[in-house]
Amino acid sequence: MVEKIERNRPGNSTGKYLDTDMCIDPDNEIRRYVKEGMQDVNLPEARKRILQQEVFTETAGCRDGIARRVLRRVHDFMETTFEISLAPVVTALGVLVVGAATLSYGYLVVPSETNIRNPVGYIQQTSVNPNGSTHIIFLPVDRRG
Amino acid sequence: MLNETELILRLLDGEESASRELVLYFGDRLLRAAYGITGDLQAAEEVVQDTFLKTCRRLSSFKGDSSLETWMFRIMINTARNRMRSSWIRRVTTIDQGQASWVPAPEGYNPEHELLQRERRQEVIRCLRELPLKYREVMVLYYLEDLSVEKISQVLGHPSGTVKSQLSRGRDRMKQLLEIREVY
Repeated sequence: MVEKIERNRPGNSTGKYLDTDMCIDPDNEIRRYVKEGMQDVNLPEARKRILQQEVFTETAGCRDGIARRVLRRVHDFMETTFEISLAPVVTALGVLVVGAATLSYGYLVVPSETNIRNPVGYIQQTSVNPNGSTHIIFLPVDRRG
Repeated sequence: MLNETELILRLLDGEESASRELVLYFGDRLLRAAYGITGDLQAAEEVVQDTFLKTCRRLSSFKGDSSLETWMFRIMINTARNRMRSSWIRRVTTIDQGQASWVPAPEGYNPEHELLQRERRQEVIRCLRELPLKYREVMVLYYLEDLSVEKISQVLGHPSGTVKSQLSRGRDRMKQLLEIREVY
């Protein structure tokens, strides 16, 4: 009796192919054929030893790479941390500097600028009356002459 | 069963035994697969060497999205493809030359067995070489390396449906070839 179970269905879940027309399972036959043909194909021992050494050497370079990467990550982390913590501090410092500059502006300007800014000065004139009382008057003068 | 994560960590820690394990675990498997694809043992050895070197150089960028096995086989396939694309390999690689560089078993040397095995290997390689490359890759990974369809689709970067269809067509062709050779 010939029974076809499943034939050439690429869409099945396992990719298996069973063909009982010939009472064989091509899957197993092909697997056995390929595996037996290749069974003594191996890397020579000398080649393996060389490869091991090369793998070890190459991964050493990779380890350096990792060290660099870790350092970069730490650096990035520190940068991020400072950015977060320093932002308000920098803002506050900026405000302080601007405020101090504004406040001190009047004291730090040069005399000529003071004259221009505030040209009117006052002269204090104090006099003592015969009855002993003191009379003080402020006389406005133009500082620019 | 190989613990891949542990092996990678040991490699990165500089353990010499880890590099030995990596070569012992994957060396022969990669060689057989590369040989099945290229059809030339010498070229396959070079492909394997390049695969190991590329793997190690890129180890720090390995994200673990796929298994180490899948990753290494993907590198091997790409390396083999590049090699086969080059005019040099097309010019110098013939099946006979491939057979000239086969590796004799060092222990229990038996000339008759060697001859038989050599003929078998030649037959398998000839059979695989008659398949188009896309079928050959799938057949080698599925039948020789016993990778699942899912893994093969990851290695080749094809959808599972494509892999299944290539597998089916490759199998049909292989079956015809084996029938012609009266293998079964």
